[in-house]
Amino acid sequence: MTTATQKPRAANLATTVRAVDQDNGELSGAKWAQRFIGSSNTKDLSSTFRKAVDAFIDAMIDAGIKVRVSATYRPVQRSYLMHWSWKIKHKYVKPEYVPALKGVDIKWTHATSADSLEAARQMVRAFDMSDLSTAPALHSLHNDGLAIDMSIAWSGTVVVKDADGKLVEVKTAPRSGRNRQLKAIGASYGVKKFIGGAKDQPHWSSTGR
Amino acid sequence: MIRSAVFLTILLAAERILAAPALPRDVQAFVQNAEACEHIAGEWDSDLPKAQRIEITLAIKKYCAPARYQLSHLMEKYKKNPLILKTISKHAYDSVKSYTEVDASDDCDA
Repeated sequence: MTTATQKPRAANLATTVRAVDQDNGELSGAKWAQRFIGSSNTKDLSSTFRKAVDAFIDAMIDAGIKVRVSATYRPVQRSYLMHWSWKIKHKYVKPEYVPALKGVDIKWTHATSADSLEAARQMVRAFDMSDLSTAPALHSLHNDGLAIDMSIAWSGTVVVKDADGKLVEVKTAPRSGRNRQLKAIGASYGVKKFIGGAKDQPHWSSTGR
Repeated sequence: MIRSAVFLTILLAAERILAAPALPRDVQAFVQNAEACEHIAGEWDSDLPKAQRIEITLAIKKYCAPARYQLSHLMEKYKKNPLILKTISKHAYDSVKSYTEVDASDDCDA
């Protein structure tokens, strides 16, 4: 079995590090949504977890299972920008009180508070968060490269090799990532299906969280 | 000797489990909603396929909205029970507290 190595929790950076003074930063606005782009490539995962994921995906593809990866690594800077722009827009925080994050030289405070609010609103729109009813969390396992979202589907019966080299005949339903046999095969590689079940269907990680 | 130590450890663990008061059902429901809310809030990204973004948006309404209501209600209901309050506070995630009924039309260009 492969066990992924836990990286330091990236989220703490956003609340504890005041790296730059906002006065030196670049004004907030929609352009920030184009920076710190996330990945859907497994090469951007944490190294041990990446090996586990690649082996599991290879085994599924060899068995004729269709796998489509939608997200792997998300930079903590991106989570920071999404979180605080949402919070400013919805007036949970004043721009001047947003903690700084190392590597993100953003200036949340504009000449007037109306301008600051408008810039945050533009960022929310650029991050497509207009319909989102809560602030995106500052941290998830995606920030550590320890989670992957993928849709999985097949038809009929498939034979999938587990991490011990044993061939497992998967003939039960559902024929998706929620299949109990497939979850056990994934776990043998160190890739664990989200323990919350249907609450997050495409999510797999090093811990099941 | 080793056998006795193992037995004693198991006995103590069992005693602790049995001694721990079960959480009231309403608090258990809150904890489940709050944990789902926090997880889903960490999944959002505008780069995701549209279908997945819609699922996340709906899941946030499904879990964060009740968790937000339950939080206020349970804090008041159990205000004289510090142990239960501690559990509630531990799960009072930012994603729960910042749940807001949004009106996307606010973001339309003027």
